[in-house]
Amino acid sequence: MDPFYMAQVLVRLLPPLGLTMLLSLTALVIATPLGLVLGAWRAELSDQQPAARLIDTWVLIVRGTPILIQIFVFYFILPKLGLQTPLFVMGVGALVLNSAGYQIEIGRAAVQSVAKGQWEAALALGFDRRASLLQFILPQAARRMVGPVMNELSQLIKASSVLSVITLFELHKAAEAISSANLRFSEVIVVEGILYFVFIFGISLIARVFERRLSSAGGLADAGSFAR
Amino acid sequence: MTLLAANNLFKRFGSFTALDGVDLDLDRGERLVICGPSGSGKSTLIRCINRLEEPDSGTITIEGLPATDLQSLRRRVGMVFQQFNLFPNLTARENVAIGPRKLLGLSRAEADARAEALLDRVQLAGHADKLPSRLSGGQQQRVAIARALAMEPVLMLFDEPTSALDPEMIREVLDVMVELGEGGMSMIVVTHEMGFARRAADRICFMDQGRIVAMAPPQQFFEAPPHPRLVRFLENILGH
Ligand SMILES: Nc1ncnc2c1ncn2[C@@H]1O[C@H](COP(=O)(O)OP(=O)(O)O)[C@@H](O)[C@H]1O
Ligand SMILES: [Mg+2]
Repeated sequence: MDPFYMAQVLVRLLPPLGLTMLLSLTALVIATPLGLVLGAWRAELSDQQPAARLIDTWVLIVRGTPILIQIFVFYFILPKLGLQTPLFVMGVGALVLNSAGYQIEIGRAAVQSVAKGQWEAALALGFDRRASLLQFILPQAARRMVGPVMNELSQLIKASSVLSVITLFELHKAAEAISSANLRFSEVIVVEGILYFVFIFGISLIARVFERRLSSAGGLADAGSFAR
Repeated sequence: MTLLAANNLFKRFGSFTALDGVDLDLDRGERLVICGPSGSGKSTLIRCINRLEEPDSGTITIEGLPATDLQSLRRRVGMVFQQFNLFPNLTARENVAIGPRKLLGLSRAEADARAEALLDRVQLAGHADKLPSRLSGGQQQRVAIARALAMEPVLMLFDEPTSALDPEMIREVLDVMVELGEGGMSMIVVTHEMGFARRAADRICFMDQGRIVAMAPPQQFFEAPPHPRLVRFLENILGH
C-alpha cells in the first residue's frame, strides 16, 4: 500500500464520487416519496383492483430479478423501443424503479401495521377515510418507515455501483478504469470502499437526525397546527 | 321522544349470522345497557348504529332522519371502545381537541378550551399535556370519553368500556358514565358490570345469538328475568 498513490487515486475519484452522489440522491428524492405514497395507497386498495395488481407486479419483478438485469433492460431494451434516453436518466430511472419497488413494501407494511382501532377511532369521530389516513394513520406509519427507509437508502447507494455496466462513469466505473490502467488494485479498492462508506455513513447521520425529530413527542402528527 | 329507531337489522359475516332481526328503540335521555354472552352480536349491533359495520338489511334512524352521509352521522354519535384507541402521538388535550377543531371548525383556542373543560369533567384536569402512554388504563378511557363528548353527540355508544381495565380502575370510569347519564346523555352501554346496570340503566337488554331475547327495567330484569337463557346467564355472571 502506497499512501501517496492512494492520495492521488482519492483526488481522481472525487469527480466520479460526485456523479455517484448525484445519481443516488436524485434517485432517492424521486423513489422515496413515490414508493412510500404508492405503498400507503396500496394498503388502502383491495387485492383485486387493477392498480393494486399493477403495483404488486412491479414489486414482484423488482424483488425477483437482480438489479443488474433491471439495468440492462433499460440499457438494451428501451432504445429498441425507440426511446433514446441519456445515460444519466437511464441510470436514475433504473435505480428509481428498483428502489421504489422496495419502498412500496415499506410504505404498505407501515400503514398496515397501524392498529385497526386507530382507524375506528378516527372514523367514529367523523373523519372520512382520507382524512383519517392523513391525519392519524400516516403520522404513526411514518415513524415505522424511517428505519427501513434508512436501510433502503444505503442499499440504493450501493446499487448505484452496478450502473458501471452501462458505462456511466460513476465511482465504481472510475475505480475500475484507474486500477486496470495502472494494474494496481488494492489501493484503488480500499479508497473506493472508504468513499462509499463515508458517503453512506454521512447520509445515515442525516437520516438519524430526521428520525429523532420524527419520534419526538407529537412528531409528524398534525405538523404545525399543534406546534407550540 | 324517540331518539334512535333501529328496525329489523340483519348482519352476516360469511355464513355466520351476527344480527338476526334486531329491533331497538331509544328515547332521548335514555340509558340502555346491553349484555349477553360473548359472540351474541352486542358489538355488531352498536357498531351498526354508527356504521362502523354496515347492516345487510334493516333501517336505522336517529332523530327521525335516516343517515344521509356517514361523517355527519358519526359526528352526532360518540363511541367509546374497549381498547380506548387514543391517538398515541397526541397528548390528552390534543386527543380531545382534534375532532372539534378539524371537523366542527373551532379555532385552536376554542377547541383547547373545550378539551380542558371536558378533561376537568372526567377528573383529569392535571393530565392534559400527557401522552396516552403516560396515563393509566382508567385515565386513558376517561380521555376517550372526553374525546367522544367533545363532538357534542346526541348519543353515546360504549363497547365494554371497562373490560380491558384492572379492577381498581373500573370504578373511576363507571362513575364518569353514571354522571354522564344523570346529566341527561342518551347512552347505549355494552357491559357485564351488572352493578352499573342496576344503578344507571333505564332498561337492560339481553342478547343471544344475534337477537334481543329480553328487555326490561333493572328491577324486573334482575328479580324476574323474563327469559330462561337470561336466568342462566345471570347465574353465571353473578356467580350464583
Ligand atoms: N368482522 C368480522 N368478520 C367475521 N366475523 C365477525 C366479525 N365481527 C364479528 N364477527 C362475528 O360475529 C359474532 C358476533 O360478534 P360481536 O358482535 O363482536 O359479539 P359480542 O360483542 O357480543 O361478543 C362473533 O361470532 C364474531 O366472531
Ligand atoms: Mg364485543
